[in-house]
Amino acid sequence: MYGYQMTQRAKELTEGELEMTEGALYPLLHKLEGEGLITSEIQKINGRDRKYYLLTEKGKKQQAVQEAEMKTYLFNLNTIFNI
Amino acid sequence: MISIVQEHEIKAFLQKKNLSSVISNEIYDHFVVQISELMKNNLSFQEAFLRTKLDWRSELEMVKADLFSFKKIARIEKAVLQSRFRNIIISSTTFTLLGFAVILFMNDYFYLLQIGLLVAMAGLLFYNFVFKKMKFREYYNLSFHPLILQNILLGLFLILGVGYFTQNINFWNEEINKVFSVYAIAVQIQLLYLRSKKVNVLIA
Repeated sequence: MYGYQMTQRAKELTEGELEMTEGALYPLLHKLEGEGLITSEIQKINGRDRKYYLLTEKGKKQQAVQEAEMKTYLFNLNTIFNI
Repeated sequence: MISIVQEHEIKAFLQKKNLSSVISNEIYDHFVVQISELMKNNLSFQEAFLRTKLDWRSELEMVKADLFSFKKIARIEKAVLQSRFRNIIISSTTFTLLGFAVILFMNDYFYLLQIGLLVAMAGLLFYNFVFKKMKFREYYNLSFHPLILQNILLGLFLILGVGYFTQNINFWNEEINKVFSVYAIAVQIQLLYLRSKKVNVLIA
């Protein structure tokens, strides 16, 4: 996925609830790339360079850990508010 | 569909922001896609461009790169630069601790560490000039780099502070000042190395 696509996908999945700030996205992507969690590939699209980002193996593992943590967090919140 | 003239207008706008090539290419592509999408909703190019510029207003606002910097850069670039500077400071501090250990346990060999660092710095400078990775003007600008200015100030405070508290006539020759010199050179080496890799560290 490339930057603009990510912002639109986030908007679409959350039905407009989550509006990613474009400017905040790129420094974050570069940071994750520096940490080896994602990798990038540049492709020429209509004469322009477009940078596509992909999860690395390390990134996939990290994603699984974060997802599990988030699920536990949501489960705990749900438990608290359902008391 | 965006015309070539309109593409030039976007490029000219982004050029004014002095973005590094990595970020600039990415933002340019983002602008073109975002404007094209907005134009699909019957907006003219100028309206779509204005709306996109407004969306990016905060991130593309020109701000001071650092407390010690004379340069103004786009806010989006500042976040990346600050994180790069943090990494430089962390690795220089780690290296300085090594220098401190050498002074504590192998004081006689400390000069070797200093020579090694100076050779590494001279080597990098030589490499950057010979392989045209750096211009002389950029080397001159390096003297006013925020991290270097910060080190000069810190060094001055340290030397004068040590002199005041120890009342030693050779106060500049205290071990702590030598350790600080390791830190200062380690920072400079990393700046030169990153420049040789064409990574933006506010030298160009």
